[in-house]
Amino acid sequence: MIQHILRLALAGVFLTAGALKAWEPARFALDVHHYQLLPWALSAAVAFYLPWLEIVCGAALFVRKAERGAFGIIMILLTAFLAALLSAWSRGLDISCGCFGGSGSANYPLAITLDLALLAAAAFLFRSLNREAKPAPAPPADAHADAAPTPPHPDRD
Amino acid sequence: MTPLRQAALLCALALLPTLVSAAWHRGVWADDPARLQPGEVSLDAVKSWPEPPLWVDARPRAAFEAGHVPEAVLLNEDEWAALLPGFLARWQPGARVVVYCDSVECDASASVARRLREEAGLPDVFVLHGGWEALR
Repeated sequence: MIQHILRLALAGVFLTAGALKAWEPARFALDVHHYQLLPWALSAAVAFYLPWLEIVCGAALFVRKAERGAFGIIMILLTAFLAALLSAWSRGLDISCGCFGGSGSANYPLAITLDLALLAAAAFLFRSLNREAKPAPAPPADAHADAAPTPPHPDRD
Repeated sequence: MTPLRQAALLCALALLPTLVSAAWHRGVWADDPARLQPGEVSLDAVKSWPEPPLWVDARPRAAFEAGHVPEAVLLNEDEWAALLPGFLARWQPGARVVVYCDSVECDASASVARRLREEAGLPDVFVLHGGWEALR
């Protein structure tokens, strides 16, 4: 149950954030540019691509054949956002976060806390998927099997 | 499909709407905030001047009253005739004047700067690139 709620929340955040930024790429390009990490052409490229990547990944969280890849991208994106926020905060930049489009000065502690919470949720869900995918444990060996050689554990290969 | 292949597929999928959006909003590529128009000056350049300029706020009065550069003079086109004498009283010969409006997208600062050059005959009048958005 908690996994369904977390997955819905994560997808909702990425779909909303992506849609708001995709609607106004010019404004988002300025937000990216204000981080002073990229030249204008790259800021514009990020402003065009990132919102759609967020939308595609948010939607892919509901597609079984694509969910692992989506979780991977989402965790990489959240790590990159965290690095950008920490970098801007350490340089004392008074800029808009750009997280959900819009304007106003970034509330760095709030934005970083939200980023970390989403990152933790994504990591938890990704780990849960891997647990579900592991094969069921082998049935207990009977007395006659004691002499048989033990097959190597797949995780130790 | 491995997670890596899934991720590659999702990245490729996001490229399609990106290309459409980039073509639709192609003007964004040319909106480099660092590219100055004739008569414009960047905030960094102003900060490097030995003497601070006389700031002129070309925005509407309500925006000026909500916040402005310390010591800035309000001079907008709506109240041009009423505000110009007050500005001229503050201006000193040899002083540089920097006019600002909201952001890179507004024209008020360029209009006020042009009128100060042409109608008031002031020589050193500049438009602040990025306007109030750059100053905040």
